[in-house]
This record gives sequence, C-alpha cells and structure tokens, in this order.
Amino acid sequence: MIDIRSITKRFGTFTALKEVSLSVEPGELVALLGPSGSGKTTLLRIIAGLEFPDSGEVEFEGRPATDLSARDRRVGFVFQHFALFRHMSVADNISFGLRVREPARRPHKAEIRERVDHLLDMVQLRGLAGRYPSQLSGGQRQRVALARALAVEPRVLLLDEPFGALDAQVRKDLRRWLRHLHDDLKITSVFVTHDQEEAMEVADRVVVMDHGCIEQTGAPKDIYDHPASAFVYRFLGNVNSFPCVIEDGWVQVAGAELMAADLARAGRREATAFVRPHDLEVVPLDRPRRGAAHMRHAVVLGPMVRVEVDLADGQTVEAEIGREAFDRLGLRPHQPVALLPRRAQVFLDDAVQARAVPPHSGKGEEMQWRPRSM
Amino acid sequence: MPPHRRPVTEPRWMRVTLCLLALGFLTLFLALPLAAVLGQALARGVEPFAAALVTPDTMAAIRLTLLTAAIAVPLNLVFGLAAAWAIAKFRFPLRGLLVTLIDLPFSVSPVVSGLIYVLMFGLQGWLGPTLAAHGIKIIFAVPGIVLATIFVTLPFVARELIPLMEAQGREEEEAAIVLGAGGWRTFLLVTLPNIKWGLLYGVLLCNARAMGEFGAVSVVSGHIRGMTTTIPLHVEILYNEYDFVGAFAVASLLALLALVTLAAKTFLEWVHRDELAAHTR
Repeated sequence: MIDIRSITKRFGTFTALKEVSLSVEPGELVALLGPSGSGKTTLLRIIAGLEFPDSGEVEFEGRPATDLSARDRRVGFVFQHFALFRHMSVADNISFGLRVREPARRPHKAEIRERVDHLLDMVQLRGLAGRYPSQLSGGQRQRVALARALAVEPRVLLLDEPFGALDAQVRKDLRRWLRHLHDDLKITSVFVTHDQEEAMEVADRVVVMDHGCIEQTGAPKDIYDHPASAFVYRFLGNVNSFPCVIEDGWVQVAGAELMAADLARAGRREATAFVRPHDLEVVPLDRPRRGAAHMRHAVVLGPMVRVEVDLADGQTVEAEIGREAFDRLGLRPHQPVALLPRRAQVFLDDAVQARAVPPHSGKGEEMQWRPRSM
Repeated sequence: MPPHRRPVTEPRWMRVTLCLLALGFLTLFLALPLAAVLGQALARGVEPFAAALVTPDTMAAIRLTLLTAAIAVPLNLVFGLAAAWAIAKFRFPLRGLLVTLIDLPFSVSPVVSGLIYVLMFGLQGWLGPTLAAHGIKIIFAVPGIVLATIFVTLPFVARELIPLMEAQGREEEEAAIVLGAGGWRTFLLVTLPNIKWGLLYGVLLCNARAMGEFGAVSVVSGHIRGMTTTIPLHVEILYNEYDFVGAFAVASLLALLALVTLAAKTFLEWVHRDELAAHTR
C-alpha cells in the first residue's frame, strides 16, 4: 500500500531521517513509536505530502507519489492539536473535503448531508452537528477531526500523536475505540506516538524509531519479548539498567549472581544488564549488611506497589511487586533489603544480547533456570 | 478589617491618587483640546461652521483625502496580508530583515518619509527629469500624496496580522490542503475567516492614519489650494490665514474621524478580543 524507500530529510544541519525504508500493507494499523526528535512525525508528514524528502521515494499502491502534492494524495490526516476549522460548525468541518471538490466530483448537497450524518453516528457525535469546535471537549474534537479525515474516503489514514493532547482517561477510551473502528473499516493507517503502551495496545505492527532511523519493526509482542537493541529495550516500558562485567556467562546484577548461558564462551566483557521493575524481587533483611540496598519509598498504584530502592553505590532502582506481597513483606522506609532479579537482559553492545537468569531454582516457577532461546 | 482583603498591598489613597492622576492627565491633554476644537469651530454659531465646511477648497480637500485613503488602504491591505502570510507561515532567508523593514515607517520621521519621495521623484531627484520629460508629475501632485501616504501607513495591517497568524499556525491550512482544497480556496475558506477581525482592525487604524497624515504629505504636496491639500493640510492653511472658525471646523472633521475610529476600535476589541493580536504598541 505504502512503500517508502531510503528516505533522507534534513532541516538545516539537523538530519531528521536517514535512509529510512518502510512498507505498510493494505489494511494494516502501524504505529511509529519513538522519543521526540526521532523523526517519526517527519516520516508521517512525508507520507502525507506535507513535507518532501531530500532523497528517496514514496509509492502509493505501487505508483510513485514522491512528487504528488498533499492535495492529490487522497490521504486523511489527523493533527495532534486537531486543527479543526474554528469558524465552521462540526458538520461544515466534516463536509469540508467534499465541498471543496471540483463540481464534477462533488456530491449533491443531500448526499453530503447524508454522509455527514453517517460519520457523526460513527464517531458517536450525533446531535452535535451545529456546534463549533470551541464548544466541544478534547475527545469530541479529536473524533470530529477523525470524521473529517474519513469523509473524503482516503486511501490511507495518518494520525499524528492522535491522543497526545487528551486526558489520561479520555485517551484510554479513545484508543480502544480507534482500534475497534479500524477493525470495522480496515483502512490502512499509520499513527505516530511516543507512548509505548499506546503503540502496543492499538497497533498491528510497531515501528520503533530513534535519531532518524528505524530501530526495529514487528508485532507488539515480538518487539516486547525480543527487543533488537538496548534502546528498544529501554524505550519499551520502565527498566533499570546496571553497568556490569560478564565473565564466562556469569554476571552480577544488583548484588545477585545470574547466568547468561548464551554468553558462557564470550570471555570477560563489559556489559549493561537491564531488569524490568516487575522482574525485580525485594527481600527485607533482618540487619544491615555491608553493601546492602535500602528501601527508600513505596507508591501504591492500585493492585501494584512501586518500590524505590537505593543501592549501596547510590543508584536508585524501581521494583514492582503485588500489593499482597508488599503487605506480607512489611517493607518500611530505610529498611535494608536485598534485590533478586528474576531475569535480566544483558547487552554487550547493540548487536549482542542474552537473557540472564538465576542459576538455581529457588522458590516458585519464575525462578527456574532455563536456557535462553531466542 | 474589611470583609475581603485583597492581595494587592497598595493603600487606598495611593490607588485613588493614581487614578485621579491618569484621569487628570487625559482630561488636560485629550478631552480639553477636543472640546476646544469644537468650541472654537462653533464660536460664532452653527452657520459659519457649516459655511466653512462647504467652501470649494474644503470640499476639494475632503475629496482628495477620501481618494488618497481609497487608494492607500486597499493597497496596504493587500500588501499587509501578503507580508504577514509570508512572515507568519514560512521560514525563508532574510525573513528578519523583512520584519524590520515593515516597521521602518514607524521609526522614521514622517518628514523624512516625504523627503525620500522628493529625492526620488522631484525635479532635482533621480527619476524627476525622466518623468518630467514624459509629462508625469508626482511631486506637488496627487500621486506623490498617495505614495507618501502608502509609505507611512504600510505597517498597520501587517503588524496586526503577523502575531495573529503566527499564533494560529499552519495546521488548519495544512488540514484544508490534505482534504483536497487548493491554495486559493484554502485562503478564502480557512485563512481569511480566521483573521477577518484582526484584518478589519488593522484596516481601521490604517485608514485613520491615511486620512490624518500630515508630515509626509506636507513635504510632497506643494500646498496648492483646492488641488493638493488634504484635510490636515487644509486646516494648517486656514489657521495660518487666521480663519479660526474655518480651521477648527475642518479640524473637527478630523476629530470626528478620530472618535469614530476609537469607538469602532473599542467595539472590535471588546467583541473579538480573542481573535485580535495582543498589542504592544
């Protein structure tokens, strides 16, 4: 549907995109995920024709579109701040794309009205046709923007941080709704986000970007389970990173010995070990011990408790434990604790990585040692 | 202790004094002169006042002023729109220089503005002899007055629109284009409705200045009675001839224009304050 081939885009001395290539299949919902400045919005705007690449090519349905103006690309674009026409009613906003067509292709007035009503139903805003954008809530505005983009029956729907300007609760509802809408309409869609949870929840396929390059492309689960690089691992959710030394597969992480079987023959190397907060177990100690960590602070987040722990070297790490376990352990601030990582991902550099786990099976199945397969 | 204590700490007497000071100042420098103009104009009753207004020379001055404004204001409307569009919506080399140049007429004395045109188009100027050879007269004629007025009133529309358009950004235009609208339709259907009140405000100020400009016009006019005198110049001529009733009667026209402008300006600011750019001048 959309083919992007080695696109480069510079703004002055800043290179926003470096030789980026990407294909989007028909009917797919793709998320461009990355931190600010990673080039994801620039890539989206190049697909829309709002920005033109310095080199490289864009194809729509197998036909070159690189030099096609935004006007002729037949894409729907939803802007981060909605960009509704503020002096037009909701109905006029939605019908804009139909009304500006040349007379030969312009639908009849009655047909336009019918289409607007249908779209209003679809975005659940029936009855608000006469309102102005300033009289709507953020979530309603976003849905009007979506209806306006869909009214012209675009080949591709592009969304720039579609939920970025909304409250947490509205955002959650709206992204579930968008996913359902996509399941119904099957329109090829690309959306930009910096929120990994949003990308994981909504998209069929996630494209992780950093510094103008694509770091990894894949289904949300694959990316989460098999991050291609330290950057991707760090970017997908909270993570604690520990600089460490790995020797014949043995690595010490937060005071615990772990074994990375795949690196058993790698010799002695400097590495970084990443541990997700929910893979970090906190065990209270009866009395202080040299080099012990100390509990600093605990935040109750519904069924989970986020525990901050100060390591002996001054680093602060985060652990997430269940509410029940937390109550059972009776953790108090300043209490000496030991940390037991259930698993860590060890990166020698961006290309070489391995999973490290405790070598013995302790309590429970999660602690069981198993050779890593990837 | 008063029931509502305010966060401001100034004592009451200071607030009252400051208010009185401001009001007194306004009365002394604005209200009293305005009253004096009307008083002098009507000093010998309504009839001499009306008679002074309908003399052929006065009528000619009014016509010339209206003509000048009718040419200068639309031209500056178009220029102001184009300049504001370019500056607010695009990034290009020398953009900063353009912004500075637009402000030039505000920072230059109007007399100098007039002299520029004398230097360019006057008989001793660069283009004067060539123009004279073709029978075109600019200085001491209507074209010179129009040119000087355009120069002096150039910043009003652009200055009003630039901050407004910058604040509105480009997203709505981009949305219109992605939806299939062409450049002209985007301008008519999206850009113009968003700036119409700001534009009207700029035009209002531009018009007031175009009709009231004295300095620049005085230099290029030549003060030929009934031919090249605008209302402000005509007031000066009458005054210098000790025709006080006439001078003040015509001046009261300008005062009226100022009052109408002020009322319209206040109305616009009140009704469309959200759509007008914040004023720094």
